[in-house]
Order: sequence, then C-alpha cells, then structure tokens
Amino acid sequence: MQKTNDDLSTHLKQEWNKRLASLPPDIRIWRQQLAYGISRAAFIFSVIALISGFYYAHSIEAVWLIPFYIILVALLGLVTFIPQASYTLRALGPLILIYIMVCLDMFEAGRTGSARVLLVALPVLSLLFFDLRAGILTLGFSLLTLAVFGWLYTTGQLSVVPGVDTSTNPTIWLSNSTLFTLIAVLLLVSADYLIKRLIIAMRKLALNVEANEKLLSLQQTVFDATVDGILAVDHTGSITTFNRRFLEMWAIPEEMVAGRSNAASLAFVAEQVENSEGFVARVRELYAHPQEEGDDIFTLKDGRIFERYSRLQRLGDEIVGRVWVFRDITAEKRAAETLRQSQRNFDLFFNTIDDLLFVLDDQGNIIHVNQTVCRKLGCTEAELIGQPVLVVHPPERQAEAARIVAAMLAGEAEFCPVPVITKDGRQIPVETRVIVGEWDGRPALFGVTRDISQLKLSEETLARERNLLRAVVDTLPDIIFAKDRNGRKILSNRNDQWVMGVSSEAEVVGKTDWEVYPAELAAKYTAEEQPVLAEGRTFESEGSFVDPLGQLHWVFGSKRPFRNHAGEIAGLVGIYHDITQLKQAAAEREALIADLEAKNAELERFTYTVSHDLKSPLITIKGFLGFLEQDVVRGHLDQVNHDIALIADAADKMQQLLDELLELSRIGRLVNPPQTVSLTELAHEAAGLVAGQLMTRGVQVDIAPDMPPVTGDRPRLREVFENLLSNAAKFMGDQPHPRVEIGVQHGETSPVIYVRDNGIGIEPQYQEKVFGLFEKLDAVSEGTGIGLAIVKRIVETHGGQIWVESEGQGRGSTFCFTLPQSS
Amino acid sequence: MIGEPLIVLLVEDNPAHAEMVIRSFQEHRVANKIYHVLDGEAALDFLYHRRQFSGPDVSPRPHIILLDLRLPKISGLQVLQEIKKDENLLSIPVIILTTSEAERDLAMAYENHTNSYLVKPIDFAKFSQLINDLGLYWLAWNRQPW
Repeated sequence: MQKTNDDLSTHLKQEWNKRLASLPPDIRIWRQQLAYGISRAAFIFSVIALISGFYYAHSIEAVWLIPFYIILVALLGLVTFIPQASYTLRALGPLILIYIMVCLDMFEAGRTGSARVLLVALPVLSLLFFDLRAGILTLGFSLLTLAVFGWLYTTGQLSVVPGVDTSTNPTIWLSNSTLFTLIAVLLLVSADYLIKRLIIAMRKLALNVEANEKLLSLQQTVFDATVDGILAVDHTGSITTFNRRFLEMWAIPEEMVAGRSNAASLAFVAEQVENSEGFVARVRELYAHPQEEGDDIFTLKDGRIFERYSRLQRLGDEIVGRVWVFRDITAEKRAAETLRQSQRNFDLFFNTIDDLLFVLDDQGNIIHVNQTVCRKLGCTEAELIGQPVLVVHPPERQAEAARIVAAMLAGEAEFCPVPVITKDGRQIPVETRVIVGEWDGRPALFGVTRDISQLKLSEETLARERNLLRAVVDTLPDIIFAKDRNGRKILSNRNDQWVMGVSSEAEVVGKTDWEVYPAELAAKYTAEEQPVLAEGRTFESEGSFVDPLGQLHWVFGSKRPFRNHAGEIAGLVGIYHDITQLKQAAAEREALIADLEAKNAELERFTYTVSHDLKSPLITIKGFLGFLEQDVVRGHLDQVNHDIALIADAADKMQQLLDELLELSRIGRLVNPPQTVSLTELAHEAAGLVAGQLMTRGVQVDIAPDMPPVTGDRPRLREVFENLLSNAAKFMGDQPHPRVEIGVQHGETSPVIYVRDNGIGIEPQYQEKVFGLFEKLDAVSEGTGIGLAIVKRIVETHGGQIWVESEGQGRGSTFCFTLPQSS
Repeated sequence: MIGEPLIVLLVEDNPAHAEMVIRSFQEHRVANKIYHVLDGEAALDFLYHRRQFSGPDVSPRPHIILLDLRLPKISGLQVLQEIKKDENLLSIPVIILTTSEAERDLAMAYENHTNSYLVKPIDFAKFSQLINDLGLYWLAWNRQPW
C-alpha cells in the first residue's frame, strides 16, 4: 500500500515535473513567483500572528520558548527567503509556522482535540501535496509539537487564562485568522494545483492546435511541392482546391481556376490532349459514375505523356468530391523507351556480330548465346542454354576443351583453339578468346569465338601457292636467291644451296655473304649489290665459280631489287643461269672456227703450193724437152743423157708429190678405229720399216722399253715414228756415229715422247718452219718437204702437240711430241 | 758498160730451173756472169758477203737479182724485204721469177718494192723467149748508173 502510494507520489511528482518542464519558461516563472509570494505573505503574516500571540498570551511560563521561536522563525524565514531553497521547503516553512501558531492557539484555548486532529491532518495534507519526505517531516514535527505542547500544557507551564473570551481575544482571533489563512493557503495551493492543471490542459490544447497547423502546413507544402498536379472537385463540379503543379502542367492561367469552374479548365485541358474527345468522354463518364475511380494514360499534343488518377473524396461514408491527380510520366516513358531501344540495339548488335558469342556461368554452362551461334551450329538457343559449353566441341576433343575451359574459369587461359562442331557434325575451325566479366550480377565468362575457316582456307591456299612457287624456284635450273636490305639471305633455291655447298636453305637463310663466302668474294658481291639496294638499279653480270665437285661453272644473270607494299626497296633477287655449256659451245665453236681457218689457210697454202710445186717439175720437163730438141738439132749428144735424166727426175718428183699429197689428204681423218698401243712396240715396228734407210747411213737406234701405251690410230702413229726416223737418217750430215734415241720424259702435263738424233740440227729460226707443207731447209735434199707436215698433222689429229728442239747447226735435233694417255 | 761483166744473182732452189735459166742466158749471150744460190739465206749471205761468201771477190755486187719466191730457209719475199730495206742494196733491180701466179704473192712482191714480177711459163719456147727478153731488157736496154 505504502509502496503504491509512494509509486503514486513519485509518479505524480514525475508527471508534475514533466509537465512543469514542458511548460514554457514564462508560465513557470509566473507560477513560481505566485508560490513565493503566497509563502512569503504567509510567513510575514505568521510572524505577526506569533508576536501577537505571545503578546496576548496569559502567561508564558516557559520563557525559553521565546528564543526557541525566534530561532525557528529566523530559520524558517531564511528558508522562505533563500531563493536557492527548494520549493517544498519554502512552502513548508510558513506552513509549519502557521501550524505551530494554530497549535499554540488551540492549546491556549483548550481545544486540544481539534489541535490533535489538525496535527494528524497536516502531515496527511503534506503527504498529499508534496511527497513522502515532507509528510514524514511534517508528521515528526506534529508529534514533537504535540508532545511539547502537551507537556507544557499538562505541566501548567502553558495555561489558558480563565475567563477570557476567546472569541474576542485577539490571539484567538488571530489564531482563527491563522486557521483561515491556512485554509486559504491550502485553497491557494489547491488553486495553484488546479491552475497548474489548467495551464497544462491549455498548453496541451495549444500544442494540439499547433500540431494541427503544422500538419496542415505540411500537407499544404506537400500538396504544393508534389510533382503531381492535383485538382480536387466537389460533388457539384466546382473546384475545391488545386496545387501549383496542376496549373503549371497544363499551363492554366490562374484567373481561369479563380472562378472555381471546372468546366472551363476541362475545356482548356482537353484542347491540349491528342485525343481530346476520348479524354473528355472519359471525364464525363467518371463524373457520370461517381463511384468509379480510374487510372488513365494519355498523350499530349506537345508529346508529353500524362498519367491520370481519379479518386473519390469521402467524408465518412459520404462522397464529397473527386480528386484528380496528374502525373507527367514523359521522362519515365522515354527512359523506358530508351532502355527498350538500348536493349534492342544491344540484341541487334549482339546477334549481328559474325563471331559466336557465348556467355558462360562460373561452372562453364551456357547462359546466353547470340544468333550467330545458333546459325553456325544449326541449333536453337533453347538447345544450348543450360548446357555445358563442351557440347559445342567435337566429342574427341572435349577433354582438351574441358581443360582449357577450367583454366579459363581459373583465369589462367584466355585462348582456346579447339574447333566447334555443328549439329550435323561438321567441324568449324575457330579461335576463341575469353573475357571474365559479370552477367546479371554474377561472375561469368564471355567467349568470343571467331570462325577462322576462311582464314584457314586462305592460309592453306597461301601455303599451297608458296609451296608451288617454291617448287618452281627449286625446279628451275638457275641459281635463285633473295636477300634483304641488309644483305641477309631470305631465299635460296636448291641450285644456290648446291653452289654454296650446303644441304638446306636453313643453313644460309639469315646469313650475309661475309658469313658464307671468302672475304674478297663477299666484298665483291657487296659492292655489286650496293647500287641495287640503294638506287634500285639492275646489276647484270657474268661470272664463274667452282662447284663443290671442283667443276668450273660459268653463269650469267642479274640482281634486281624487289619492293615492299609501299614501293620501297626491300631487298634483291638474283637469278643466275648456268652458261657453262654455252661457254663451252662458244669455245668449241671458236676452236672449230680457228681450226677451220687453219684448215682454210692450209688449203690455200696447199693449193698455192700445189700450183707452184706441181708446176715446177712440169716446167723442168718442158724446159729440158726443149733443150733436148736443141741438143739433138745441134748435135750436142753429150747433153742428151743429162737432159733426159733431169726430165725423169722431174717426173719422179711429180709422182712423189702426188703420192704424198694423197697421203696428206688422208691423214686429216682417222680411218682406223682407235686402239691402245704400246709406243715402244710401235717405235720398233717403225724402225723395222725404215731399216734400209737407217742401215745405209749406219744409224744406231735406241728405243726406250718403258714408253707408255696410248690410244689412237695405230698405222698413223707408227707413221710418226717412221717419218721421224727417216728424217733423222736423212739429215745426219757427216756425223761419224749417227744415232737416234727414242724415249719418254715427263712433261708439265703429260709424258713427252722424243726422237733425238745427233745430226745436222736445225737453227732456231727455222725450227717452226720445218713442219710446214713442202718446206725444206735444204733445197737439194731428198724428199718433198711433206714428211714433217704429215707427222704434225697426225699428232695434232690425236690431240697432241709436236715441236723440235735443237741447239743449232750440227748440234742434233730432238723432235718432241705428246699424245693423250691411254686411260 | 761494154766490156764490164754483167753480174746476175740467181736465187733458185730448183737446180733444174736454175740450169734452164743459165742455159737460156748462155744461149742468148746476155749475161756474163751468173751466180746461183739455192736458198734465201744463201742469197742474203751472198749480198752481205757472209759465211761462204765472205772472201774477197767471191760475191760481187750483182747488177740484177733473179729471185724465186719459194725458197728454203728464208723465203723470196723476206729476201726482197731485206734488200729493199738496205740502202746499199735497194737500188739493185730485183726481178721475181717464180712459178706462182698467186695474186697474194704478186701483191706482196710489189708491196715490197719488187722491180719486176715474172711467172715462169710452162712452155719452153715462151720460157726461152722470156729469159731472152729479160736479158735484153735488163742487161741491154735498161740503163743503170753503175
């Protein structure tokens, strides 16, 4: 119970304080000053009452009471007037004083019962108006006062004057007044309380009004600030209210709505709408069916799009009007349209791209593909979505593709060369690049797969053409190479490789001549190529080289620049044709011409000689026939024999000449098949044939046994020895020990066969002449001067050479000749 | 001129021909003294008095030279060249007497300043007549400063 009271009191106090606190400061001050005023008035009034009480007291035995009172009054006064003192203390001060006064008065008047009631009532009041502490304090004080006064009274220290009319006694009056005052104070306090309550109630009301105003202003602000145009119309069709936005949206002049006529504004508004009739009809329809609410969208002539909400305004159950809300949704509509367009653009673009575009989730499953995928693979989007991306790869390569996809998902690979497969099993070579990204807010892989069929085809075509060209270049019998601007080889065909003695192009490609050829050759080539590379000139040249087999080759060709796409010189191409055979043919032709010329000259000389030398014996014959006739006529018979002998000699000479000319004409061609013969054997045979001639002169013949075998026309070769031996025998002169030596010595290129005699010798100036046709050094010697010409002819026909060595007259001669060795 | 022997140098490799010339000269009594050599080398030796002709009066300066073209060792043309190169010898008339009718020989001979070019006729009568006329012309009619 106590607790409840306490709680109640606390609650009250808190409530009070709260309310106090919620009061405006001016009200609080006013109330405080009122309370202070009352308490101070009560105090002053109590002091006066106390002084008068004591003044009128019959006797005051207990004089100590006086200072006690004075001290009490001073304390209370102090409490009352100290501004810092709590409200309770200040209120309690005068209350206690008045209370003491009343008690004193009551005891004086002998109304102890009333005093006791009062003493009990006071703490109750105190408790009621203040708090528990004030109650206990007041109760304690009441008990003390009761005890003190009771004790004073019973001990007679305080006595009431008998016979004194208390009704006239100013003390009584005063104490009665004090009681009234107390009641008044209590009333005041009660009034104060009530006033306070009243103030609070009023304040509350004021607060409510304020809140309502705030709310209204808020509503108005919202009403005006809203982006929607709002028009409220009552059930009669007049405009109740509208906001500024409404006017702005429709550009309605203010005077038009000032009249509160909805019809005017409706007409004005309808003018601006594209479908005015429909708009007006709809409005009419809504008005015709007051229960209906509706949302519409309509387009204005200026392109804006409005949304219209129509709502009924109700008051309780009664419909009091209609609210029209207009919202400009142009931007939204446009944004939506833009978004849609953008989506369409994206789709169009996404699907138009000729690459296959895949969107994969982080598990490698297909989320999205473009139309190209469907088109190229021949399947529908639905067939692919949700499938692992591996399904687009050929089954036999799916393991490889899976590895790559895993690496891609891990961000370790971004390239996949595995081909894709169409629904009907055809493989398309592709190159796939992958980019990690996001799709619908989740990590995804974007695969861009490019169909490289054409590229492959181009590559294949290119490769085929390159190979074809390569084959052509390699098949050509020429030496073909190309170099870049720095002189590095970039192409070398088989022949070029062969010439350089390498077995593959790789061995020379990238190398300069300095790395391949000896320095002087490289320097020569570099010098040749400089103007080709620098000025674009063509360099033509003929040259020779020795191939790896040691064979000399002649080549003719040129080096020309080649240009890049921009027309700049990028390098040079060299093509050299092997003209060795041509050269050989030319050499052969020249040799043939020389031979022919020589033959011609010989023929000329032959003709000349024949005409001369054949004529000579004729002249002799004719001449001496003439002399013979004269001799006979003149009888000079001794001359006859001489003349006849000369005639016979001439005739013989002529026959010999004819025979030898025939012989000479034959040896120009080899009539017998070539065979390998031993020169030693041949020499012996020849010596046998001219044995008579040799023996006549007593010539000793030494033939070396080790002469090499040769291949040729055996009878002709024998003739060589025969002629030389005969010649040697003929020109022995007066040599007492004629001797001929046949042997072989080593010459510069081939063995030299010699026939050496110790005869008359030949002076150096005539050594060449002896081989000439009909050339004789000795006019009177035997022979026609044809023998050595025949020997020369035979040796040369066999491909050899012949010459004579002699230190001069009387020093002997050595005829030397070479013959090709028998292989 | 009368009383002074006329000297002829005959360069002829064919002894039979030489004899024919000599006998023809004798027949017509035009030449007093004929010196016969067999080849070109001997002819030059004679003119320069060399080798076997080195002795005094062995090789007098000839009044005319009869020169065959085809000769052993040194040809007639070479001999002609040598003679016409030599200031002392170039004034000696050189008469080519040959069997060759070749144009080249003829041209070469005149190029080398031959004084005359005669082809030996096959016919004896003509041969004889030629030698006779030759003797008359060169040794009788033709005047020489010496």
